[in-house]
Amino acid sequence: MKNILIVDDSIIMRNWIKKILSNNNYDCIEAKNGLDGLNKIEQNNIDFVFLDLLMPEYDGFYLLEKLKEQKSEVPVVILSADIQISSKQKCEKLGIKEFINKPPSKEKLLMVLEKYMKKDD
Amino acid sequence: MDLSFEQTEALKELINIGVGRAASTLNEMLNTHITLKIPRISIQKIEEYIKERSYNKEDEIEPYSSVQMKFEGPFAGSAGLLFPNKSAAKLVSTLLNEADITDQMDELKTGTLSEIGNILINSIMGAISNILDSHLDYSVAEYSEGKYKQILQQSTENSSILLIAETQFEAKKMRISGEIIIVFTLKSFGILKQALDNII
Repeated sequence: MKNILIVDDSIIMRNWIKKILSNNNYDCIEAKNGLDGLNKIEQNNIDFVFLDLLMPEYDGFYLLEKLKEQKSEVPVVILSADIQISSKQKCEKLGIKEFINKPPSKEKLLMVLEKYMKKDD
Repeated sequence: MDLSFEQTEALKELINIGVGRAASTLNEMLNTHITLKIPRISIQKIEEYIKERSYNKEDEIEPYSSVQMKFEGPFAGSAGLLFPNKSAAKLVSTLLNEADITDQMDELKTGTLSEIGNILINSIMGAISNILDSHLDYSVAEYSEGKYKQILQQSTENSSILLIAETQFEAKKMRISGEIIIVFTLKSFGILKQALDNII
């Protein structure tokens, strides 16, 4: 099964996403901020990351910068309550392919997983 | 420093757009039909409001739950969602179908309220910044409890102008009232007024 990392300081949001993904045969790992997310990526075989931006201590941009330094190829999709057009543009400049406003629909979550996750050979 | 009628109406419209979006988002997240209404919006200087509010004796007794976020950018201040504690517990238990949520602080209650506040504040401030072609940077949403005056004083430090939107959540035949409070520094409020003029 594929390992999906959910990085969000909101336990409500993590539980909500985890429930959808678990019901669709994905294994979920949780992290509470950018540094926790980075540690989880290093400790586990992560296939995909859903990343919140605004988190205490180490935010989503911290994790994005670290992944860029490491030349990581793990697909990352942003999930954020921030609806500003300017925030989406900022993420696009960092190479993020999808910026989804919270809460994402079940269909949207599964669609981006299908679209961006690497397929097994 | 007062807003003109047109500026006030424009700001109210932006808030209503944000609230409408928040209601839709909360409906999706909580799988519950929620109606959000803003029956009244007032804008005034903070000192005047604190003086008016000092006559409200219930504020001395009733503890409040609050979710607040600071914002910075072309205009700066903070935005918050406030409920009397008992109303906050009732809102969470209604939305989550959890009959035993008490008004004591616990992870489910604070987590749910924080997320509701996060979504509502982002929706409102995002609507304002998008239409006014601005960008705001936010702090992480913070949950706190305390007396009304104490919470208000925490959020109004260094700020001068207060916007209060009375907010009614309606879900499953329950109506729960709270307040959205947005505070601006004096300088920011001037910039906001200019930005509103550009869209009127």
